[in-house]
Parts: sequence; structure tokens; C-alpha cells
Amino acid sequence: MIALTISDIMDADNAILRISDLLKRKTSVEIPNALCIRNDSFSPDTFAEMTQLVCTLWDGDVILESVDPSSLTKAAIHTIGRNTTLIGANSGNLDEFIMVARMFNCSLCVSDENIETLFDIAKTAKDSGIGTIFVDPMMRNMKQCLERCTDIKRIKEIIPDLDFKIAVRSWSGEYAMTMATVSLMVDDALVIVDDLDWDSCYTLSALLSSIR
Amino acid sequence: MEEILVGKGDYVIGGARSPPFLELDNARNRRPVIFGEAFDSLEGYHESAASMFSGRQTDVEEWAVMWKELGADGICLRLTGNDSPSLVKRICERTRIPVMVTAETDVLKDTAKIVDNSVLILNCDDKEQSLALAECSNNHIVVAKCNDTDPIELTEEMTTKGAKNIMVDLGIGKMDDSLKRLLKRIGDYRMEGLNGNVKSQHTVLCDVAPSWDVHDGNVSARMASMYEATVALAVMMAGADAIIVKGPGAADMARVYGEELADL
Repeated sequence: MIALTISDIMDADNAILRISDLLKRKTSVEIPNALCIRNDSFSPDTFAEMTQLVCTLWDGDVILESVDPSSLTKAAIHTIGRNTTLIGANSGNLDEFIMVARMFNCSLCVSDENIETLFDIAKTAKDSGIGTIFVDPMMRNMKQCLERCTDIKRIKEIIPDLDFKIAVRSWSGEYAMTMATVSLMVDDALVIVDDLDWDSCYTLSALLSSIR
Repeated sequence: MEEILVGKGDYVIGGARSPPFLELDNARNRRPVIFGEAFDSLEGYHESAASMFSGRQTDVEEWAVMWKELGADGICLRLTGNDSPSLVKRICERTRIPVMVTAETDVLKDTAKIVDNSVLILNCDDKEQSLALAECSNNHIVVAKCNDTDPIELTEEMTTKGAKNIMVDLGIGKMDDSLKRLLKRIGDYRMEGLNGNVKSQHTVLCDVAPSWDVHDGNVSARMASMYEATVALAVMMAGADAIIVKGPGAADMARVYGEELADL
């Protein structure tokens, strides 16, 4: 799954234009599959308003990204009834994120640079009753992406109980596309990028059609 | 995996000791080499690709030199003329980088005879040409074209006929349904070699220039280059040791990807 991001500090008019553009891309090349709403404002109200706007116009999956569980709670109300994933959980805030995810029946993406810790957090979330869990090993470049995705894939093959999907977070442009390519080649990852242009969406869509 | 020397002996291809690029498995810090395509006839050549060579594509020697200036590791010459053997020799002298040649069988045989100042890669069109060249490769490298052939069988037959240095080509790389099978073939071949099958340890060549053929004539150079670079990245991650590309954009991207993944 490939998600593009919309920041909650965008004004409503520009946000509508962006969502409309992303809808056209989704119809044309099936990318993005999801929209990630990022809480750059750090304001629960602004985040909730943007989430409400996105959910009015966008009928696909939604990802809510915030480090603040109370902001997520306010925003997640607007996503009820659709596939929603929460991003921002780590070893320090896991309990609050689990609570919000359970309250709104959301998937959860947990992040940590250490793979052992990452699996421990994911296992805790799974044992707490969260249905779908993504693991984000916080990769900064293509090399790390290849090594860590391979490492995680191998662990999953040895321990089927740890069958969590990998999440890859990247910026925008050509480099983000290569990060997406590497992660999709290694494993069927959830790729969340800030932005990709039309040509990149076309190319990734063609790659996915070719290798799946 | 086998290691081969090409050009003046100062370029090394292959020598893998792990799945591609994986530091986890003690990978060698070596990236795949990139060959840029140059033709002696532009008939049927993509116009948007031609626009990237500033007019120098009209002279194959100049085109080859341009590839060197652009930073390609080698040149893949696709030749139709009768004077090709002497042309190849001149290009080897002028560029001093590895040269790969595609041509009619007789031309390739003559080229293999007269070029003695550089180790060429004789890039064959089909299985029959691979076998014919195996008999008279004159210490140059012969490509085993294994599109629909078992690479182990073909390379064994070529060795029996006298080929000393062989690269395998397991199919062309392009963005369509064939890519999945190609990636599996390359990956399986490499893993079999790494697992100790000495008959599966030749270096792997992959031509990704046909990526351009999936577009119509109106495609932008940028879009076609993105397709080509993405296919190049995919085949490098599967285990290709050498890549042939059409456009300088893809050549540049593939080289950068290879350098980063190989941690150079």
C-alpha cells in the first residue's frame, strides 16, 4: 500500500485542491491507496478539522500521524467506518496509542530503530488485541531500507508469530520513489511518503503490476 | 560467484559472495557496472532518447566517447556495418573503457580476432550465436543468451566448444509481466551459485534498454528514464552484475543506486 501525505497546516482551499489531485491519481494509476494526515500543527482541533475534510472527500484508507494520543482521539472520530491506521506509537507512548486504536478499531504502526525492541512493542500491541500492526524500523536511506527490511523479513520467516507488515516512511521526490521501490521489492510494505509526482506514481504503479 | 576482467583488465565484474548488496551477509562493496547503448544506425531508435545525446548520436564513435564523459562504466555497441571490427578497435583505443558488441555472427567473429588490446564482451542475440562464438572467442567474454534456455546447459555446451569466459543473460528487463519471472530467474541463478553449484556461478548481464519499448513514441525522456532506472534497480537487487541502459538519466540513477546500496 502506498500513501501520500497531507499536512494539517495546509489551508482548506489548498487541501481541497490537493485531495482532488490525489483522487485523480488514485483513479488513474491506483496510487495513492491511502492518505496520511500529519499533525504538523500539534493542535488537536486543527488535526481533527483536516481529518474531517479529508474524510468528506476521500473514500479510501486513512492514516493518522501524530505523537499526541489526544489529537488522535479527536481526529479518529471522523474516520469511523473506514480502514484507519495510527502512526506515532513507540515504546514511550504505546499504552495510550493502544487505547486509542482499540477505541476506534484502528490498525497501529509502531516505530523503533532497534529491531528487537520494535518486535517487542509490536508483540505487546498484538497481545492487547490490536488487529493489524505495522512495524516501522525508522529507515533513513535506501541502504538501511534494504538491510532492515531484509532482516525483518527473515525474522518473520523464522518466527511466523511475528508476521507484522513493514512500514516505510520517506520524504518526497525521486529518492522517496527509490525507497518505495527497495521496500516493495524486499517485502510488501506499507510505504508512506510526503509526496510523489505523477510520473513517480505511474512508475511505481507499473512496477507493482509487474512484480505482483 | 565468478569474477571477470574486462576492458584493459582494470574493470572487474561479479565476484559476489552474498545475496546482492547485503551487509548482513558480508556483501562485497562492489556495485554492478553500467553499459550505455550506442548504435551505428538510428533507424527505429527512440526520438526522445536521441534528444539526450546533443546530436552526438549521429556518429557512433562520438556517441561512445560521450558515454564515457557521462560516467558510464562501459559502452554497448550495436553494430550493423561491415567495417565494424576496425570501428570497435578504434573505440576501445579512444575510450579505454570496457566495450560490449552486438552484431552479426561473422562480424563478431572478425571483431574477436582483430581486437587484441581490450577484453570485449561479445553480446549474442540468441543461443545459436552464443554457441557459434564460443568456438572462436579469442579470450573475449561471450554472453550466453538464455532467454528460453537453461543457463547451466547452455554454458556447459559453450565451455565444451571452447569458451573460456562466459556471462549469462537470463532475459531482457522491462516493465511488464515478464519482469517478475526475470527477477526470479536472476535471483535463483545467483543463489544456486552461492550455495555451491559451480555451474551456476557466471556473472549475470541484464539489458534493461527494452524498458523504453513499453511506451509509445510520445513518452517524455524523464518518464522513460524513470521506468528504465526502476527496472535497473530491480534487476540489480535481484543479482545482475552488469546492466545495459539506453538513456543517460537511467545510467546515472542506476550508478548512484548501486553506489549507495553497495555502500561505496
